[in-house]
Amino acid sequence: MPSQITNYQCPACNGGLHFSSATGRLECEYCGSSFSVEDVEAYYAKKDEAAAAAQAKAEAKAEAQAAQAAQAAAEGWDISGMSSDWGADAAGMKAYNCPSCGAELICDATTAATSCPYCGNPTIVPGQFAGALKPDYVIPFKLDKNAAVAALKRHYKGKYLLPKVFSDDNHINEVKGVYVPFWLFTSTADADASYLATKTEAHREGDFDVVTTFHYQVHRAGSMNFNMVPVDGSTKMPNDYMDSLEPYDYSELKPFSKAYLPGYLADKFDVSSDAGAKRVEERIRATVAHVVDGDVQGYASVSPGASNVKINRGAVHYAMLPVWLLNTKWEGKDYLFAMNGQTGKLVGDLPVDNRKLRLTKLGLTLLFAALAFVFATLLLH
Amino acid sequence: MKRIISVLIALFLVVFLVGGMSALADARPYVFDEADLLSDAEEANLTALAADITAEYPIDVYVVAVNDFRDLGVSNAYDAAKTYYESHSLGYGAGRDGMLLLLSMDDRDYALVAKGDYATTNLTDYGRQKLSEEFLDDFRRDDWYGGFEDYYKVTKDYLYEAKTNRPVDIYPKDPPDPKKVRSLGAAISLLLGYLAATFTCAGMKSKLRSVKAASSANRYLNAGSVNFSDRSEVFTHTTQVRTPIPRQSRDDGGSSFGGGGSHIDSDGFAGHSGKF
Repeated sequence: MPSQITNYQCPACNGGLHFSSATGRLECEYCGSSFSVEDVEAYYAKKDEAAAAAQAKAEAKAEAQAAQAAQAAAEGWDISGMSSDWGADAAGMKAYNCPSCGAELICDATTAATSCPYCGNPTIVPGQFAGALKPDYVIPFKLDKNAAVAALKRHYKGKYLLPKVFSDDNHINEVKGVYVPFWLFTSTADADASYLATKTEAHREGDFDVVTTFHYQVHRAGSMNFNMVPVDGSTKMPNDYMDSLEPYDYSELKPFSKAYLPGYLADKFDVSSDAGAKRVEERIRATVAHVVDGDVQGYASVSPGASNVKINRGAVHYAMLPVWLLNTKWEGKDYLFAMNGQTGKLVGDLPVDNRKLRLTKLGLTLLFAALAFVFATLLLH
Repeated sequence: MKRIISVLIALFLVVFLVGGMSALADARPYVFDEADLLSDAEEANLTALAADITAEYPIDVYVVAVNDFRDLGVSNAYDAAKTYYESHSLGYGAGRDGMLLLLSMDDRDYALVAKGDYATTNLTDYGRQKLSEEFLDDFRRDDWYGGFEDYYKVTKDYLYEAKTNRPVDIYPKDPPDPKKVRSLGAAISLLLGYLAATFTCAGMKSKLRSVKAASSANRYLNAGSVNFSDRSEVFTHTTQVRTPIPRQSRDDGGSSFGGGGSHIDSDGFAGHSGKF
């Protein structure tokens, strides 16, 4: 059900405000707070200013992204398939900005956007949809909110050092399904590497042990292909979380359509493909080195020499991949969990019960020490 | 005055002759320098050291230096030492107690043999091995006199030790204090327990961490796309390391060294041989 963001809403709980003729004040029908009309108008004026500032910021960012995209194109990545032309889909889309964390969100016109999925700010403001890059692909959500909550409960299981209070009393503050922007890079890589390697042979000659070492200069050259290496295009999503959610099953990639959006928010990218390419190239280089180094076998020792990896930049695609975000707070600290909306893989670091850790360590120390002592005593007798 | 001088000369002659005859009486051969390694003075000094030992203990201690032990008609230095001992009827008293150090210069072989109950009891296999260490370092520097001098001095020390205490040998160690063993065992067990507990707890803690940045793109590498256009190796050079094989303390016949007392061979000798 769509919500009207610009309707007067309670600054405390985001509930609807209504005018009470008895008090002459605006009262919240949910939390009971009351505000003078002047205060609410001042609050909304401030909010409009924030919206304008966020809008200006978004426009500046869009310009910067365009410049970065041009740079990426100049560096060889093929972004020719990308377009800002949403065609008929544009009519049913709307955009929001979060004045608090700067998130830029898009969704279809039927989706209610009441708060920012990243920072939880309840006062997100309408933004300008025009100019947003249209994604090439989308992987639709296959798992719903209940599956995400169930996955989190499973995530707590079998973790002895997880504070019991955390798992027992843990109330998930929010569960939000977000289409996270990803850049998918396809490329080939050419490798050329040299190594100094040795083989040894040992024998006895009279009163001497003789070890003969044969030295070789080894060379490897070859190529390999990489298909759609992902990197998230949102500064709001921690890179390590998004990396940990991999892999997505690309066989279920669909051409983007707003038909997959209802009920979910989609984040607009704020990390350019050029910036994302740096991380991808690092990952590709690591794999190329691993493959080529692994091919040098049958030697007693191998020392890497000069190596060169040339990445032939191919197509870059912009895709929306499904992520469930689950937030909770415990002892004043925020805990974020993310679930792959397609495969159900859930990640998120959990707190450690330090008291339990200390006691466990003490108990295990005594137990293992006793076992070692008994074993040694039996062995000596 | 003349008379006084005549008396003094007569007195000197008497003392000199009596002393000289006495010295001649004790001048049994202990040093056989057939390889001509020593000066006359050095030979005299070593003979004096050997005589001192014989004066205090019922044993003769000899030194023999030859150019090639094969001249004695044997195939190794150990047998050469025994042959020399027997052919020269060496040894002290009826038991023919004695110890002989033979150097064969051509191949830098040495052998140290002992014969007789007194010699083999008080100069044990272990003692003779330790004794060898004292003189071998001198011989390796071609310090022949220094090596022989050490040989005599340390032999005398060992005989003194045997007389006043017990022979230089390997003795079973006193059993450790059980209380100390238990305390040490408990401390080591506690340390092992702490390490095992730390390792186990680290494993438990790691279960709470599931977020990690990716460092490679292995899963996006197209299967079968890896194509090597060059897999070559060029041989550049060879290096060789030659390490001498540690020599055995005995490289030929004779008794074996096993620690504790002396092991006597069928000819009544105990000893060992080697290179210097």
